[in-house]
Amino acid sequence: MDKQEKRKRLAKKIQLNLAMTVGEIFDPIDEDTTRPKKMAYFDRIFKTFTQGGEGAVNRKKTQKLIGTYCLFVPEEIIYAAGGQPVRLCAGAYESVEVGEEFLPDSACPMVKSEVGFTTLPVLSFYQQCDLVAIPASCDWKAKMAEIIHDYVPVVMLDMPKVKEGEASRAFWLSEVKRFTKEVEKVTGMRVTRSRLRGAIQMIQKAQVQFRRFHEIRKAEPPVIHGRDALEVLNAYFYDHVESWTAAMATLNDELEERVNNRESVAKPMATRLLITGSPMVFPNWKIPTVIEELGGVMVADEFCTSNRYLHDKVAVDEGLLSDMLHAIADRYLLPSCCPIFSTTIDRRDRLLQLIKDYRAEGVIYHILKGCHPYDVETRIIEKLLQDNGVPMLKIETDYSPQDVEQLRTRIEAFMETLKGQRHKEKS
Amino acid sequence: MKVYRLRIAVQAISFIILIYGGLFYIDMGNRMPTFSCAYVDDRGGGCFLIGFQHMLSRPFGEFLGDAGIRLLKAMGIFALWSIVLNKAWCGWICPFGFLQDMLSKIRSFFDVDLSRFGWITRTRYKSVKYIFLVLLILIPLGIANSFFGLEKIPRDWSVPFCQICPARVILPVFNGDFSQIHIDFSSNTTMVLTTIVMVLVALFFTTAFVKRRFFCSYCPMLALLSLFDKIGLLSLKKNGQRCTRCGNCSRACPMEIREIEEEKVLTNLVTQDCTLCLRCVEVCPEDKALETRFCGIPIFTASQQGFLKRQGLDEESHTNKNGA
Amino acid sequence: MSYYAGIDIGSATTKVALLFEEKIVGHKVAPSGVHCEETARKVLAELCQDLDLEQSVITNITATGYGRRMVKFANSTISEISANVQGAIWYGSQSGQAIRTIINIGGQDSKVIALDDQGVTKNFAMNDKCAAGTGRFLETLCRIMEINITELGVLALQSTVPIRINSTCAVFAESEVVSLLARGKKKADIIAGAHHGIAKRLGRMTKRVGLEDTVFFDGGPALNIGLRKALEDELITDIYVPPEVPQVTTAVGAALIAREQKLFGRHVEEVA
Repeated sequence: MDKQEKRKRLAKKIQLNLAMTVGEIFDPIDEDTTRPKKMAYFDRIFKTFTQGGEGAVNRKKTQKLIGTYCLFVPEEIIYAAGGQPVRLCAGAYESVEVGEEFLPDSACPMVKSEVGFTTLPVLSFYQQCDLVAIPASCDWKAKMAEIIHDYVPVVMLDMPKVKEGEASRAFWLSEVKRFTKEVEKVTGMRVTRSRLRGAIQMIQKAQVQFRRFHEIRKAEPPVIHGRDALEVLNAYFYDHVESWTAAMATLNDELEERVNNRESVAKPMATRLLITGSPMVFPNWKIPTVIEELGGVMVADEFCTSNRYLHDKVAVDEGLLSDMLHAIADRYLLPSCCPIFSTTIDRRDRLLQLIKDYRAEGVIYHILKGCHPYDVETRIIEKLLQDNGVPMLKIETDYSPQDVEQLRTRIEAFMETLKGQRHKEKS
Repeated sequence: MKVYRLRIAVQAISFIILIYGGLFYIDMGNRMPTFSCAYVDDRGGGCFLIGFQHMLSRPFGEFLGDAGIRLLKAMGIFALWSIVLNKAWCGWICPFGFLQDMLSKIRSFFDVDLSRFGWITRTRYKSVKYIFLVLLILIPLGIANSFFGLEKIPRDWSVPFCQICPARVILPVFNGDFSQIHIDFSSNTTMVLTTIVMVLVALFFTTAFVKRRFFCSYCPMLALLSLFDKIGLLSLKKNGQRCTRCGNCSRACPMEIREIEEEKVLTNLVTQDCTLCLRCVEVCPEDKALETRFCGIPIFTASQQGFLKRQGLDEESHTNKNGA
Repeated sequence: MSYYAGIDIGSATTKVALLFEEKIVGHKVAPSGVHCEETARKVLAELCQDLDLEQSVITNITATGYGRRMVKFANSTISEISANVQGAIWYGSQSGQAIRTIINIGGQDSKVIALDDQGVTKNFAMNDKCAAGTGRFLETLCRIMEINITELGVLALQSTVPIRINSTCAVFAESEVVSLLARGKKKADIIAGAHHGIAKRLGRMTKRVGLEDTVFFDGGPALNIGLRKALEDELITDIYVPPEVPQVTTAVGAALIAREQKLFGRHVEEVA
């Protein structure tokens, strides 16, 4: 058997395993009658993973596909240039072993999974990308271009690590402008003032629904599970922004109705948890699933793949092309709570605000093994939460399903502690 | 009503009142903390600075008598005006500020990029307005008094700031008065000063075209007004906890004030250069992160919804409808 | 020129192979039953009868498998690992393939044997502690599904996306399968999932001992085409399954050892 044939069969194996994982996740979900009906739209996107992700990305045949990583790649520019962005951050355990051929063991599972999918034809959109934009956010991402450039065309965006400085902002703006040129080259369409304005508005409209959704999530009793919230935002990775917005609008309508009817997805007095740390991408939903199975509710998250993804807005001031590019550059850099930046100030405030807004009783701090930036911030966040009287559980794990039972025990104990505290406060 | 439209309307009305108000017998006195130039014949009110400079060119002894009382009275009226509207005089009323805003509009209409200060330049040039302020106080005093036995400053240095103020040349033009556009060769001083003002006028048009509110960062009136920053009835408050430091505010700020974005602790954000144009509140997407208050009552608060509306998303937004 | 017999007494079935020099002349498989010596004797007698041979023509008999020490009439015994290796190499040489990895799934254990290029055992891994990934597990599965064991493979091939069976333990897997059936899942998907689970387990064992081509797969479950495919998918290699009855490989190996012993006096393990 030659090497090529071997890789083909390996791809088939990964594909089959992935399909089984998708089935494993969605089988119980499909049987859950308390779930909002309109989630079906988002489910469909992930169910395509069983057939190589064909149809997951919502684009016209002629449209160029621009892969992105992290949340630093300005999607407005891609849309304005007539392309379709697809965020490639991956959460599949299946492709981790493939990525391990290229990366050291200490690398985080996310980057391993991504490299795995890029180098092996499992999910078609990883190979179909006409350009993949990788911000040099963490060290793993910084090296990624070199690893995958034989498989897909790549453009690296350099990231300043001290976002407070004048030079770093100017530098990032220049990177955004360079990216614009690169995208224009690929799509063959110039980013004009009116197109960019249109793209910004398109995403702002999505943000209206995004914020509306998060307002609804504050409701008591909770009308949607945290895992479903992750899913909704995860779907944005692949969907066209307009279709996503439309689907979100109908979901929000349904949820509002649920709020009015006080239809809860959880038992009364369910433990309210907030989750933060390294991002969770489909199908790595083991922690939210465990929380849900234990009767808790993940009321909010602070993930770059979910709550942080669409939160920040581009503010068009004068409406000139350069002004809009400046605004876009600022939106992706300045408010970011990513731990790759030198300070945690913004993340700390945001966390406290989320805890307050969503009345979270405890925080789960999720670290993917090898995700150093989030690991580094653990102590700071732990102390912050301690000072504010919020209990925190640190969980360090990877994508492998093997530790689910251990996680279950730990999370259950944590939730019991929180319940105990609740009783203490009452009496 | 979008605030920036309201502001343009208020500015336009103020412009008309201050430049043409005299035609309708409007007289709001000569102690206004804004550039309603005294050289405009049909003005509806006068700039405080010209009277201030006149009143200062007295021998020190006279300040103990009538002149002192007049000066105090003038300053009192000025203070009162300032306390009530704070810097809104600059952002909402000043006709010279309005002209600059219009030039910016023309620039953006022609798709010309705006220029910005470098951060260091920005900080360094902040002090220029204080140099102007100190000079406009010292020179008039020096005309009537002798400092340290030096010779008195000649009479043709009187009202020195007005002599180099580009508003003196530009604003009368709207009254059909082009007479200020000239170089006065009567003495060396006047020749130099009027030449400087002509240069400044030219500079004003070019700089205000490429850079928003360029003149304001040098304006001694802003320096005087900023004495009342913290006690003005109109205030700009910030809730640092809600701020994500997205930088929208400082980017949109015509005065390029960075504190508005960086500050997370201070709550009163009317800074030295702030003109209270409220552009920052308009572009702030976070609920209640920025707030304008009058006498402590919120009158304009940043919100997600408002932000989107101002960004041109007028369609019915459901945000907050069912928020818990 | 003479006949040699190999008897493999497994937990589920007893296999007898009869060799004339290095050629198989016959083999037989029968359930082990309670008295394995009895069974062995009976099966051997039946096989001779089938072949029209006097039992006395058999020069040497080697027993292997769990019950090898019970067979008192055997001239010698050998561990099933060695017998399996001999059998696999013989089958390999018949089809011109160099066997480097042997996967054997028995009734109550499964093992993976790695050979070097000389055909000498390099390393092996064995799961004899639980029924997960053994023939017994497949039998249980058939019982729950109410199907015949021969249908398993064919059914499994009909599945496009197998259902993941999380429990590797046969007892827990049983309850999991029952609940899946109750939820109306397709039999084919469940079976394919179970096969997948076994393949995963064996895959891990194989990785431990080291995978080299060609892979030889024998034991009763090797008849199951679904399991074979699952293993091929898991190991990403083609698997060679002996063309005749794959259960008898070990018995053939034992017979080969009986011959060798007779001819060259090589004693691997004396009768206890």
